[in-house]
Amino acid sequence: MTAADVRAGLDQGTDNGAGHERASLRHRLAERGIDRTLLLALPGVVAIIGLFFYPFLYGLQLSFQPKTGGFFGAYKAFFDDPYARGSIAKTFYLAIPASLINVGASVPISYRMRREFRGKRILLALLVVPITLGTVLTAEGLLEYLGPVGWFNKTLQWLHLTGGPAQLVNNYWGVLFSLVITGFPFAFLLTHAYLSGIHPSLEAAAATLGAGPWQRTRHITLPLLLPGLLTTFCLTFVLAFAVFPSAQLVGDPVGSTHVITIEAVHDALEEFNYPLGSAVAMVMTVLMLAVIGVAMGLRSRLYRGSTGGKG
Amino acid sequence: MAAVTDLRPRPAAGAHFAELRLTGVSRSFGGFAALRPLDLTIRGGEFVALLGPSGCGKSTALNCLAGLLPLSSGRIELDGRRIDTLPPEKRGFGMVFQNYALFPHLTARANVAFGLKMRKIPKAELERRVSLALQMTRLAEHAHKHPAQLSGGQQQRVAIARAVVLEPPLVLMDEPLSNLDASLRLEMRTEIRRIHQELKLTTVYVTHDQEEALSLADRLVVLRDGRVTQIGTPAELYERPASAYVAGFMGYRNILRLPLGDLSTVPSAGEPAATVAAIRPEDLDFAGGAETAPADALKLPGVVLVVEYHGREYLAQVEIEDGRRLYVRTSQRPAPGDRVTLVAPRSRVLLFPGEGGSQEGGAQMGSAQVAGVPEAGAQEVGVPEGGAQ
Repeated sequence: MTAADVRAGLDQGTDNGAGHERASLRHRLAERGIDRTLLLALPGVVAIIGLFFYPFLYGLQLSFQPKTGGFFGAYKAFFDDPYARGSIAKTFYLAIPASLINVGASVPISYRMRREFRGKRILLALLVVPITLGTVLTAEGLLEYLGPVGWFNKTLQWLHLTGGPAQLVNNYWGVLFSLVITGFPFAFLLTHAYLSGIHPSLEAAAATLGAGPWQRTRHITLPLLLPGLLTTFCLTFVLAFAVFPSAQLVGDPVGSTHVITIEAVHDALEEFNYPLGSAVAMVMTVLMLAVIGVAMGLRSRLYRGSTGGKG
Repeated sequence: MAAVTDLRPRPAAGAHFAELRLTGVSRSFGGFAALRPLDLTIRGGEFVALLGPSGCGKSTALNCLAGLLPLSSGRIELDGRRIDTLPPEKRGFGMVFQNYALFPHLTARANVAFGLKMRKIPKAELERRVSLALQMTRLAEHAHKHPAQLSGGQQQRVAIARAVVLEPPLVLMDEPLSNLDASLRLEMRTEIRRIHQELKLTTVYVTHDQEEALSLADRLVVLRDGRVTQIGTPAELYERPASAYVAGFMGYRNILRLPLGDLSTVPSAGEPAATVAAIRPEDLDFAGGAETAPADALKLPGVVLVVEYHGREYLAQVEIEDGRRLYVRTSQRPAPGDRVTLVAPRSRVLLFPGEGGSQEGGAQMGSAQVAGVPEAGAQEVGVPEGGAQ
């Protein structure tokens, strides 16, 4: 009798005295959470492996196989070129303010939206509707609206507030506007959800204990909301960091908004240097993970339990 | 708990007041009047319970007192000083919320210390007072825990400690026991009474549970549809409910439209004829029991439907001849299907002119009852003896 046979016998509970008390293999697996419903996760797992992990690992190994320069040649090429290297700073310079604006603006609005008022649903719809606009549509709208002959500049000039048209598109500002327009709805929806999770009785309790409006925010609402805000920040940061269409369309893609995605696309699809393009993409991934790591590290030091008021 | 008396925090100067006067306090939401003009005077040190079913306006009244809801009209004065225009943080009242509203990110100790911190109490005194409050509520060994790590009863005690550590002139409690299980509720009820006895803090307590209200309060305010129906001491309300509605709250489980048996011909000396009879289950019994029924007793033949075992006695539901169902508390052991005759001493049956359980039951009581004995809304056959159980 081989070891495998013994195990099989045990599993069926027929081998020896002890075996009689053991439940079937299926039962024991089920107790550990392994049963047929696990198959429900299969399509998703397959899709993630096929569409994310495989391309990622393929790109990773590709980045180490440049035509010249050895194992790290592509990375060296990227960091040696000031223009290419500069895309990192330009991307951060856009993504960080955009994320901060999105998170910052969503807090007071969500705070007020906790209570009922007339027209709340319409306002909610208005705030969230930009989600349905693609970046390209947003970019086109911005070009029309904020452009030199757009309504905005026409109005400014009509009011004699500016001499000439203000340059608001095809530069840094155009991309920032676009990132705020597309990123804000996500930030708002998340913040709104986090804030609604904080029971209003907590603030009422703080008020009866003598805390004024600012102290209530400072000592109660903010500490409970901060973990949610960090998560929201991460999400909008990732969206903003990967900015591509708007940087191309309403930005200055060879100047102030030469962001890291543009650099990667340029290397891979215009220079046909796939290893270099992959290397840039890997650098981008590492940078995003670093920022998320810092944010999550901060978050882990905060209170993250229930905010339901009952504790 | 002999040691407890030594731990009692010294009431701060100004913690006590002579009277808190509510004049015509009302609150409506849109067109809905949640609280109709309420007049009430609360004396310093008193324990007042606002009693009524959900939606009767009792929580609205409490929130108006706390400053969490602005008044629609009326005024609140503390020893002549108007306070209804102050925000909650300036009123300095302590409040215990139904869901406790403990700050989940702070330890039990920090929760209790929060109010003192907001008042910028010096550190040494803050530590001393927090420790006293935690000891008084028997939380000393749980002080470092977060609310999520505490049981329901412990959370409740933190909420109470947090409110009373400030030695506020007024403590407001909004159904503080309703989230606890039955045995813990009894224990905490005693605890609340004990804390009130020790600290003598004026307390307004909102509840829908008449047993809680009777056992805790010095004075009860019964509310219905935003209106006061009766104000009085527990004994007054228990023995002389002003209306069928209040009687229903005070344990008169059988509220029946007349005619009922031989009660239909009650003489009415110039007053509107009684239309509703109220009888406590414990005042009804089966004929042929230990005591022989007096000659003028109410007698109702019927059939036993349901019997519940309650330890020393049974609670039976009996269907009388006209199909109405009555509850009877008895030491005899009935069986479902038994044909029985229910008897009740005449003196134990209350008769009311109002119709039991519908809109205008307490209407004749008006809204402006300040304190003390209610107007006699009941045309009584006799005053039942026996105080609160």
